[in-house]
Amino acid sequence: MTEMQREIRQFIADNFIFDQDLQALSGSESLTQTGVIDSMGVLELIMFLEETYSIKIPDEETLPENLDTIDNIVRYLQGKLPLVEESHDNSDQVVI
Amino acid sequence: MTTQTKLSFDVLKIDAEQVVTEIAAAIRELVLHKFRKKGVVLGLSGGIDSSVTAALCARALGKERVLGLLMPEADSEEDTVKLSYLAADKLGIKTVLEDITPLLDAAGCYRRRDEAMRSVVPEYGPGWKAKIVLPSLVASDSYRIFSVVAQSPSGEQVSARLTPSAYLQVVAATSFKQRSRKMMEYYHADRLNYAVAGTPNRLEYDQGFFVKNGDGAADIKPIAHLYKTQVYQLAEFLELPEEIRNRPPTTDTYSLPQSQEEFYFSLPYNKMDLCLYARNQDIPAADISVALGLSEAQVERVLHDIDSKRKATRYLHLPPQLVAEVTEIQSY
Repeated sequence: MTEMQREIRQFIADNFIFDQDLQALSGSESLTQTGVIDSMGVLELIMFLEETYSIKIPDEETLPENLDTIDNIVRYLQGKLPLVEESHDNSDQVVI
Repeated sequence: MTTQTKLSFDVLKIDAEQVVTEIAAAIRELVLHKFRKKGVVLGLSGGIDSSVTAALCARALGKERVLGLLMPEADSEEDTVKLSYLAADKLGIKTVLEDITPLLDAAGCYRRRDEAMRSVVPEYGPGWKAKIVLPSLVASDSYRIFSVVAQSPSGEQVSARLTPSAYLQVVAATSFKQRSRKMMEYYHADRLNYAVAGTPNRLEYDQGFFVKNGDGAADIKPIAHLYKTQVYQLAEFLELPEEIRNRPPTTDTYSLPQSQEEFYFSLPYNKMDLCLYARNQDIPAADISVALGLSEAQVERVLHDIDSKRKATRYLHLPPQLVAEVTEIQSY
């Protein structure tokens, strides 16, 4: 798992999963369709991403294809950030 | 071979006279017999829903057993009180005017709301007006995230996305309005031994467009099963004033005029009604799109939004949840 995935999963766990099993949430599962986050949660997620990664997410980019799964979020952030170091794990690649 | 009927607005047509008779009978049974109350109190806003509800209560119980409360505040639209009196005069019911501005001021409603607005629009101050709005659901796939639209005293408008805490505080602060009104309704209901009538229509009730323990609280909700389109049909049958029947639906909550579509619903009420009806009847999106002149993708978004709102607002409908049952009172 990359550092970015870890951070996003931790945010979701701390704010939305509570005592449910975070490990059961796959990277490709819809966060809204599975009921993990609602419209209020989307707002909190956007704020977290903007503050954590120092980016701005304009209204026209608040789309499910960018934010509705952990995989989509990571892909979206990689497109927004000039340089992304994906992981501190030995097994993962560094993407530039 | 099956014959498919095209979906149209005709599915929402009702026999107004019959529906009025049925609702009046239900009101009598509930208020006089089930609750053993002597009449009904309700808030009048000059809008179609409260006017029709008042008319139904007057028809059910007699006009002398209905009290209409007019409860304007600082942000109420100019014609709210005028239209409320128009409805009350037509029906011949008694009214009481309770200006709740001082009550809201004392509770910090405006101060708390303005503080939240200022957190995202720093220049917001005395003389400014504002509303919160959502982007159009049919125009795009983007998540519906609230922004504040603020207008300076000189008329310039600025727009800013609400942070989670600002959004929650704005909504919590403005909810003082609905909860204060309900407090007034129950004061008068208690002193008169009356029941309180709520005025949501089916779209509002189904989609959670109310404040918990605010306008969501009531003893009876006589039109909660009627689509708003049908409420308009009753209004015509009951011969309510044209000015009320022609008034565009509004939230009448923020200092800038705010339509219900900007704030909550995806489409004008008549199209929302048809979508809600179709959703309830499992009518395919393809048929709905033909009836409404929207693309199938747009209709799918509206249907998805209907389901999302039902899930998100389930909490508003729930009564207090007990940890263990208290069965002894259930048979009384």
